[in-house]
Amino acid sequence: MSDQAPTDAKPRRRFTLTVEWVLVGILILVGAVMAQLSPEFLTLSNLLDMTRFIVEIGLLALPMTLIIITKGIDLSVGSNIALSAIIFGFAWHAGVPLVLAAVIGIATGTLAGLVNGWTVAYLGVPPLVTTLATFGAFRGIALGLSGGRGVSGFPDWFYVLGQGDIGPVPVQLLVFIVAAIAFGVLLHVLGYGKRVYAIGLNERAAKFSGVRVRSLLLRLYALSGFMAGLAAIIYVSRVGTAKGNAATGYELEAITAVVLGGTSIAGGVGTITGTILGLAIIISLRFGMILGGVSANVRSLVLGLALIVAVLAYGLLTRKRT
Amino acid sequence: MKVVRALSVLALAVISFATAQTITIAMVPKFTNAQYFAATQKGGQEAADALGVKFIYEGTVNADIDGQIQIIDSLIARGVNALVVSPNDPDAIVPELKKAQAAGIKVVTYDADANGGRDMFVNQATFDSIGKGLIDALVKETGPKANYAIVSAAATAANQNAWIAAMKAYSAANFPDLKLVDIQYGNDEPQKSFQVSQDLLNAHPDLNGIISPTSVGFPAAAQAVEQAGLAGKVAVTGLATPNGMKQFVEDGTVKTVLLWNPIDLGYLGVQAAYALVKGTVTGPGDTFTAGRLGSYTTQQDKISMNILLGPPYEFTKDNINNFDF
Amino acid sequence: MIRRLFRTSGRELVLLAILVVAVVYLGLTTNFLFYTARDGTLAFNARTIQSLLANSAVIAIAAVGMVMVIVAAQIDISVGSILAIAVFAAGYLDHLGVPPLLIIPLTILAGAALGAFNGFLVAFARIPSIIVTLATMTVFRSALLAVLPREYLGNFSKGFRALGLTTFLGLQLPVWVMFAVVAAGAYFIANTRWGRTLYAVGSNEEAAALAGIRVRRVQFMVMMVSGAFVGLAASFHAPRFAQINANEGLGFEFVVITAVVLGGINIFGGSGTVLGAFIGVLLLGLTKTSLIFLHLSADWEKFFQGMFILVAVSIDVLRTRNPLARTRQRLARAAAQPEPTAAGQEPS
Repeated sequence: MSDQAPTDAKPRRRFTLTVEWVLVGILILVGAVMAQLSPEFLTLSNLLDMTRFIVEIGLLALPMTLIIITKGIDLSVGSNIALSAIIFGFAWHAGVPLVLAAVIGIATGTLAGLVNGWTVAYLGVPPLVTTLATFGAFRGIALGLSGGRGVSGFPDWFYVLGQGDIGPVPVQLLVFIVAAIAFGVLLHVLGYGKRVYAIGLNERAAKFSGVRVRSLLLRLYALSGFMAGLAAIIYVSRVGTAKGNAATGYELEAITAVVLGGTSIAGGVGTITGTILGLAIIISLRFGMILGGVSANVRSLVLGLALIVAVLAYGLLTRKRT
Repeated sequence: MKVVRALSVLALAVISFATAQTITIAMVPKFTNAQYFAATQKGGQEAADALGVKFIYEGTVNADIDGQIQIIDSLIARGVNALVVSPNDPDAIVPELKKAQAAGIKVVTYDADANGGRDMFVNQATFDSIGKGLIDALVKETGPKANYAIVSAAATAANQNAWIAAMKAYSAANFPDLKLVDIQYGNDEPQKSFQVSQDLLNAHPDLNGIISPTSVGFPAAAQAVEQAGLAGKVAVTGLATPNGMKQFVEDGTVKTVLLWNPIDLGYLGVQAAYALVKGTVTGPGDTFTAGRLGSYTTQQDKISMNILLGPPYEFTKDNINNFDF
Repeated sequence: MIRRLFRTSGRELVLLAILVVAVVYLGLTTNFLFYTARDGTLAFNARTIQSLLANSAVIAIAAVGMVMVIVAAQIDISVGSILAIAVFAAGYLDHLGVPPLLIIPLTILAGAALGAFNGFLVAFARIPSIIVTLATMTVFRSALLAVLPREYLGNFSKGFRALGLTTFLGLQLPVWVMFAVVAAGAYFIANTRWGRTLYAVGSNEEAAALAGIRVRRVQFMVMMVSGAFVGLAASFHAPRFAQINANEGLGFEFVVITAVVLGGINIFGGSGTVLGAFIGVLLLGLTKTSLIFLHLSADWEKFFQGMFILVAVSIDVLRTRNPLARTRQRLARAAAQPEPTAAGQEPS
């Protein structure tokens, strides 16, 4: 947590490029191994189909990348999905038109994100503490309001979002692609991205050079909440029901993908491309092993070890450069 | 791209070749870390061996609906012929089961039902018979004028809620002075079930009995009663496997354990799946022979059809040591 | 005097006040403390307090280790998985016929070994502890599940069960162990040289290194000690149950960290007390129990736990907005030589 951050930006850019090529290499390796393990893995239909199980986590991982670059973290996103899903389901159940209910659900997620952002940016509570609290609070509200009951029986057209295809491509994968492009532009093209890196490298220096740190952080955590709300709608459409126990543990999966993708928890380093590759590696590993009949325990063992090895490798890469 | 397509064609050929050879039946329990589901696996394997079919048993370690959906998705891709599933969530599982059906896979639910997407439900015992059995076991110890509490699994568990409803209905009709003071949820975690049982005993000093219709909650509740020194004063009954309850039955904390035979349940699940795959059973009213269990006739229900394993079995001090599951 | 106390131990006092108010309220409105016995007399409900303390023991013991970890600016989210392994280690040792008093040190050793693995990756491979333990949380638990022949274990010996169930002065053995560990931990961290180095490393790693502290060794040790505390907790936790199960300790890391954070620790290191964490543990346990006494659904538990943190942290922020306190804090931070005791007691 207290690793000192190198200050000049140039070698870093070259480093991130390296990390991404390493990730591409790992992905190819994983694909080859999984194809050996199961003949069904390397089929176009499977490769597309399995992305259904990572899109919601992916939607969380995109803003998480930005948040971790600012040295922050958002542990509340999984709980936020449950909260947004419950509000969405209840609103629809109470007679609100489905599209409007979805808007209300996403607004709930955004509002929850604003609570995080305000507490972090204006009250000055560390992100880990803030979102640890709202991790419990949001899940608690979702469970308490629903009391174990869920809402299901949505109209058939709604299920297209989470279960349908356009051509051979799952609908939610298209949503993710659009979101990923938007976040790529936000972080790597617009001035906003430069300010995000600046905060992560040195918050005080960023403040002095005119970055409005507080307002940026507020909006960033709100954006994370917005994406959780969006993920909630897709989640409900995929599993056909809105329940308080939705998306349990998603926050850790999203963080794992981001870190695997080369974003440093010490702040200031990370790319959207890396996160996408991290997501691709995780789902290929996990689903490939399920297909190959690898037992659940070995599956999680491999995923955990992969994370350690990847971070160790990044450590070696950075040390060589500096 | 060409390579991918070629590979996928090859893969499909491999699958269809493999499936032409043998029938594969996959059993997906709610979770794997319980003696109860291990017993259903034993029964499933026994039936598969008897029928000469390939048997896959795969589940998540803990009750995890996301993981269960992914496992079923992979089984669809692996081209199994039938699924025998105990869903963690009766609603969230439905889209995935429908996907399996669309791929030509026969879907049987066992132990717990789904609200759609299945061809048959293998019901271990009717909800009413369980509700009656549990209330009768309680009243035998506490008398008809008593306060009791329920320690359930998760608030979302469909069969738990159905049993609770059946208990309420039966006691309202037959024992008007039997009062249900609280329902708590231990989420099928031993530690949590133990704590809520303890808290129930503390919060209601006038409690006469606890009913726990879950194989994780029941031993935990019995242990809470025993540790509070209330054995003999607070009755405990519920549904659990005999092995988990033997020590409590022997020391007298628990008088009656109710359950069906989970080995038979797993056995019947696989037999039913086989009958569906072979086309012996195509709709309600059809009869098939389930190996050593004899013949079963399917009943129509609002989703598709179901069969009933039989009445629940009462384990007491006199017979519990005759069973090993 | 009171003002000074409020400034130095404000969080502890606030939490203690909440705890007392909650107990009094529950005592007056429910049969939390007193109940009408069957013969109509008012009786003391001793079991409530007994079970609250007994169920807090495992969390509190692990929390003492977690305080040391976070004070040294690290974190350990693998404690739940370490607990699962240690619980099974204790159970299998009993099955092998190892005497109960020998099981305790062996289980501590098992926990310490796992903690040392974390510590090595943190201190010498230089991976941030949050990443290391995020990974080992999965690695430890799945490794356990992969080697276990069955995912549950029971039929423990009488002697082993006695570790968890023996009562002394009305309280179970694990409760006395908890009291001893909390007292020793509180003394150690505040009054020994070693304890003060934790604060020094946590408040400013570079300054601590310049002052001659071997920072990496401290970081390694603290992760190992956290594992050892979990091992100790496990050796008294396992015998409380007739059967242990492989999902033991799921979500344990969140409970422990929540309790410690509630107890007023600075998540960035350098400040925090064992006593605060202990009160945090009790408050969390009380939340769970009180829901049942108040006839509220247990579903609200997480909500209240989250709200407690937000309220406690907000009170802290308002408390330290006192301009004088802020200046003092800034001075303390700016001091070239970190003064560990001052940093330790100054809430930030």
